[in-house]
Amino acid sequence: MNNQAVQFSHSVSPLMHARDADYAENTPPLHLPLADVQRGLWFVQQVAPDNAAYNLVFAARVISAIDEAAFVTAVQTLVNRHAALRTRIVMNGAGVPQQEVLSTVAADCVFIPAAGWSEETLRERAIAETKRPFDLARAPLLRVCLFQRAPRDALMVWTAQHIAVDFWSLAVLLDEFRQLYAGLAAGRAVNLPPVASDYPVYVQRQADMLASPAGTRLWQYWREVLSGDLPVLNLAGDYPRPPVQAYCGASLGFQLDAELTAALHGLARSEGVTLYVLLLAAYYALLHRYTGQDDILVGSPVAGRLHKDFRRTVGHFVNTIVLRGAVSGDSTFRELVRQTRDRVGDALRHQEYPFASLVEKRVTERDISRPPLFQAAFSWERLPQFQELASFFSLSDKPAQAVEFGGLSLLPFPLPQQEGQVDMALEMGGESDGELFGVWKYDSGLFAAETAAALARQFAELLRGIVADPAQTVARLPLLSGAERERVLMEWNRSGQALPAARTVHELVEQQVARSPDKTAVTGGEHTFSYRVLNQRANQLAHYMIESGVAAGQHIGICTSRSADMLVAMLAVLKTGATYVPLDPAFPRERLSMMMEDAAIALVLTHETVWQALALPAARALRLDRDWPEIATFAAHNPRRIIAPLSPAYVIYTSGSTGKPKGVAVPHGAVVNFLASMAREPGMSADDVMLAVTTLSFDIAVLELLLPLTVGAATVIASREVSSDAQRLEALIESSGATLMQATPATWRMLLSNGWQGNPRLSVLCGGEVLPRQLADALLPRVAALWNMYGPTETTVWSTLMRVEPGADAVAIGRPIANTQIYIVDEAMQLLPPGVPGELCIGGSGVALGYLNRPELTAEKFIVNPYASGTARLYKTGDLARWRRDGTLECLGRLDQQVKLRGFRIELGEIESQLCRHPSVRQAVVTVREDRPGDQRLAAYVVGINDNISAAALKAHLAETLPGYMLPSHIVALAEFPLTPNGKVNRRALPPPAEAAHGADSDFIAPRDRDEIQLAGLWEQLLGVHPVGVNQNFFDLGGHSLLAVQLVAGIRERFDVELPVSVLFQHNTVEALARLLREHSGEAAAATPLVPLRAGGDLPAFFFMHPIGGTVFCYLALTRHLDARRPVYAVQSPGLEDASLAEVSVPDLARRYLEIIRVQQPQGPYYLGGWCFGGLIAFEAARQLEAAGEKIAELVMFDTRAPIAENAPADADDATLLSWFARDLAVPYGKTLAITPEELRAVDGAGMFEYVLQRAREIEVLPHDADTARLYRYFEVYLANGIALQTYESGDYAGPMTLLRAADEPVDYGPLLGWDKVVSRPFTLAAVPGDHNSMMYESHVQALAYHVNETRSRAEPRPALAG
Amino acid sequence: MIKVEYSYLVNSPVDFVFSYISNPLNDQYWQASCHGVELDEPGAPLGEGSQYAIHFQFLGRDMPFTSVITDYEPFQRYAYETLSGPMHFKGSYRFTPLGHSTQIDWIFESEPGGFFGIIPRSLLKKVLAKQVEGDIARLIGILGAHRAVSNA
Repeated sequence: MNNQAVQFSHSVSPLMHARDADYAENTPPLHLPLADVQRGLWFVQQVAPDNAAYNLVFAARVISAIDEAAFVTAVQTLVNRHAALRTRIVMNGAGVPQQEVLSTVAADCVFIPAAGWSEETLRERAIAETKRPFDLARAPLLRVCLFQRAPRDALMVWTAQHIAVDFWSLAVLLDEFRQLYAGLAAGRAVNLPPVASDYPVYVQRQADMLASPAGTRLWQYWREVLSGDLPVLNLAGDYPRPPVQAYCGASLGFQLDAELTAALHGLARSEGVTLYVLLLAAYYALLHRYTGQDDILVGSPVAGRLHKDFRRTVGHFVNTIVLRGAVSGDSTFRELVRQTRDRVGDALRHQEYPFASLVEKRVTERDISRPPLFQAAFSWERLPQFQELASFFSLSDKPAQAVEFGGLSLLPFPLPQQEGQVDMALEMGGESDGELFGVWKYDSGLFAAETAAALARQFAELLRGIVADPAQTVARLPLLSGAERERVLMEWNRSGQALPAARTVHELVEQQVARSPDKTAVTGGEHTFSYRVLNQRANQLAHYMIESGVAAGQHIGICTSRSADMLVAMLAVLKTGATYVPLDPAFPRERLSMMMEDAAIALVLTHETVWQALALPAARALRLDRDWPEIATFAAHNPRRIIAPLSPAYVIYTSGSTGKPKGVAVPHGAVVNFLASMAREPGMSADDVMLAVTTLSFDIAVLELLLPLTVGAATVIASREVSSDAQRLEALIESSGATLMQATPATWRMLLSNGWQGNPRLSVLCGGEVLPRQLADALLPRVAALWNMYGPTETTVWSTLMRVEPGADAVAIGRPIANTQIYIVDEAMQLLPPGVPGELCIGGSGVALGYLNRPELTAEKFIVNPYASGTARLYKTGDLARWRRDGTLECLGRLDQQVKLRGFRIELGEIESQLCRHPSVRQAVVTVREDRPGDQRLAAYVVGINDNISAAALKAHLAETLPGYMLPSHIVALAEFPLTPNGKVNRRALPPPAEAAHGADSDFIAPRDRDEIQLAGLWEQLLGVHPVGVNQNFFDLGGHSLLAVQLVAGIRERFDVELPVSVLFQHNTVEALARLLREHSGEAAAATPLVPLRAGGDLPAFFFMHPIGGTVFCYLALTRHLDARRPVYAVQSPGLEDASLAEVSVPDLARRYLEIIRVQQPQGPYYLGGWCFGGLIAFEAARQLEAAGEKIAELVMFDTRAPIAENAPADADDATLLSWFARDLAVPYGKTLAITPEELRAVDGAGMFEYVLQRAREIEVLPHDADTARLYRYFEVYLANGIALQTYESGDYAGPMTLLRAADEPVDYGPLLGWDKVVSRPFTLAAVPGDHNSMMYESHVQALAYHVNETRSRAEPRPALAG
Repeated sequence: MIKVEYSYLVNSPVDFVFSYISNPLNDQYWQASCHGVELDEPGAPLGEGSQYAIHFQFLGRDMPFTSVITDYEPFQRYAYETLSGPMHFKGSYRFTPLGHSTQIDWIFESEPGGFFGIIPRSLLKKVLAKQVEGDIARLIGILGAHRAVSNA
């Protein structure tokens, strides 16, 4: 036989039990609803039809001969016996899934010749077989595959869809198969006991229970347990989370040694809990330690076989309970166990409430990127039926004994199964040879195999710690193995380097002066100094200060222009043993005053003009220009003051969280270490030229000004004006011959956006803010080298660095610099494993002395280093970072930028980075604002490449990759970001987003075209919410998975477009869906202009004609108030989709629309109507119908003016026409788009449309993907209708007619609007509230609806009452 | 350039039809947009070179023109063209006797330039066509014609 599968046909064995044969009768299929527990699974299959995450698998090596006929017959008998195996899931007409139990179904049993296959091939093919998805619409949802290698060697693989078969059922099936096969192979009859109650019975029983008070009590319990914000588990992944859960996973088997297993048993006994509870508590502890979260939801399956009738029934009974753990690091593990025991007990008592119902009721904002409600699962599978086959489910490779199984001899062939259901799942319960074993299942799209392996190791480590000391607090339980601890603590911190002989900064410089006295040291302002001159001048100034009484330890302000003198002043202060305090003259005067006061500045070194301009409060000032002749009289040799390495070299003020700057005192020793480290890497030599651009007040200037002086390089000091002018800075980079320049990302961005082409000799140091990958990629090809520098002022300029290479990952911050240690810790200061984000703490030689005059803050941030001996300290940066597996560090932002909104933990940086990927965005900042107390919202601020930036387009861009909860409520475009004096974005200075600008989410936006109207109608119908705005989230409005499926069915019916359910999660607004549909079907799709505003109902339909603009959403509000039994249709102008279809005469319009209407309703009587111009079309249509002998039940015109010369609009020029068009475009939305003709005349002809388009988009009266072509079509329709209106010459009409006149319309067209001059018969007239426009608005439409409903009463008189 | 071509049958003899259509003074009676005609030389025989002032109102715009007859072949051809006015247009008729009826082939070409501003050409053409259809119907009515043949 070839290597070809053989499908055995269904053949009922004569040996089959009579009862089983009953099923073969050709009875009609039985339809019944899905069990609640099945709904969730069905939904998953709709969202991801190709997933195999819910395929149950049993595989075994058969090392005995197989009776193929007996084998197939046994499988077929199972299919015949159990309704669940003959069931398929289909949708009924209403789009609701239901089970269809068929009377006969052929078993899916395949024999595949596998002779000659290697073990590897066999395994691969077997796994492929288990991963093959099921089509739920095809029964059976069980397949058995036999790979026949040799007569006595086969691999048997059973795969079942979980929706039909649960683990328990699998055990039942295997047990029955064993009996059937044994009997059939031996040629004897098999009398299996009848199935007591089949699955349909269970479905009905469960539905009854849920509808009863017992069901209500269950829901009440779960509502309470799952109250408040539900936490989302934030296990840090190795890969970015895809926007839609992929249901791809992998498994990792593990075993706990016998000693640990025994200890766990012992602990469980002594604590009086089951092993399940104990291990679940340990799992909570692990998740808490990995995420830092206190509130954790874990899903756990329960068998659901509470009634003995169903013990032998095959079906999906298993339910998932959600166990909410409150895990505090301060609690002991023992306390956590007790809490877990109690919560598990409660939950089990309420286990019958279906998980799918919980999701539907409790998850209002579905995030399709994650499983709902819980992202971590813990299961405990220990079925008695599987006792003898237990080892068949272990992924361990321990040798196993063959098991006799109904005449077959089986060996385990464990295959992974049910992978990718959740982020992380721990399955335990199996135990063999005194060793517990289990499986870690993880989402392989999020986690690398190494991470899962590390997690498994750490869990075992944690368990060892638990059994050793269950009274230990959760925070202090061990997590890292010895080797892992060694790696993060020592190996990746191996940064020890010998310190230079010089103990102070100025000594380092003085040594270099001796080596290269005549080399140029610095150029700045008007001066260029050699090393010798620079040092002499610094010495003279130092001697002057010493003579003037400046003492070591005093604080000396430096407030000069950016010049060579600035460097003279720095060195001089250092030489005196005093501490310099930069006072940038560009800073606000108040800030400078505060700093001077805080630092008790003894003397300010300045320039005359600078000092005069500042007029700072009284302080001694020494002018380096005016006073220099006197200073120059002092000695030029190096002063001989002895200065300790711990003496502060400078105090630099940084922004404080309270808004008050805080001074960081940095000692000489730290600076010496830093400079020596930087000289090695990135490296600097005497040939280098450093272009210094950073203000002295930002500590990174230390590198720019002092590092060159320690290696004999030259420094060119750029003035402040040049530093902030891209063009001039670019010129200086060229003219200075600079080989090194350091700046924040803002400066590099400024240069690039000015067209800077880079410089191949320039090495670039970038730091101070996150270096985005896009910026790095832009810089890399333009420069000699790019270094990413990271470090806070508190640990001396930079603490880690990395040369940046091209790549796709976020730019790492590298490894620690010399004599520096990095620790990534959790809140309890426990070391975290690689990959897990935590606070980045820095120890080593760079740690500053502390904050000036802020002992409490110093004590809080500079703490004793628990990982070092003695009194060494470390600094808690407040930055969020993690170790990568290669030992480099990745900075993830500020801890305080990690926000939590409605249970979701959100990294603002992630949103910023996504915004920056949009081509129109240059820079983005996202913050959480609480401009109204208790109303926290995400606000994004962007600086665009140009002015043409659309908030809606950006939102749509974000929605492509980010879940809904990460989409900002506001997107505000700014010309530039406010910056701190150090050039960083000043987040506190970002303006509050104006509610009106860019449309906040809360702004209601009505549907704007046919697609949006139809979609909004569908939503209203499904959700029972009125009205639905185009920007409202389906799930916020109460949509859930089942409704989502019904929505997809509705879309299929109305748009003839097949969408996967999953798109609803990414396109969860009417606007986004409509855009998607347009993309899907193309703009010009020949859609019918007849828009069903409300389909269904037993009364005759009402047909409304579009007004002059051509759209029909003006009837939405009215429709909501019309008799619910009446279908309502509106004719939209076909010209809106295809300009060639725009008609220019009312009779033609009416003729064409009647053709469309008569498809829907071939014969009268007709109900017709329209607002404004729409009334005129309806009038003409009524005339034509009348002429054709049809009956008009009613013609209703809403403030339609009669087609008489007096009512005709005046002629107008282009600007006026466009102005009217703009006005009328906005009117139906209750909005105002007032663009005066004068305003338009100021724009050139071609630009007028763009102008109107932009304005219309701004107020959301056009879809955001509407382009000029669409606006032009709208305009053409408007004009065509205008012409039709102008040229319409009407005749008489004799049918019923109602004119509803807007009572508040200020323009007087007469009481009958001129209709008395057109029609000769009397008609009904009524005044309704509102003016010509507002009569159609929600606020007035009720009165209008009353009259329309009344017309029905007249047209269709109720039957007379008997009596 | 906007160009329309129409062919239609008038149930009247060619001499009668030609005489009516080739006299610009009749335009105001059968062309809805024509609001007045004045011959330069009233009473003089019409022929090639005859000039006249004609005033139209179309889409709310006033349009005074000076026109000239460019072709005048009794019972066969008649053509005209504008000499001045807000835009240029020209028209030509060909008359073919079919028994007691007359077939008329009419070609009209116009270059509206920017006169109609923002109103798209496609729309202008549609409005023009709509108007011409009305005019022809009126003309047929006046001339007692009984059926239109086709329009291209």
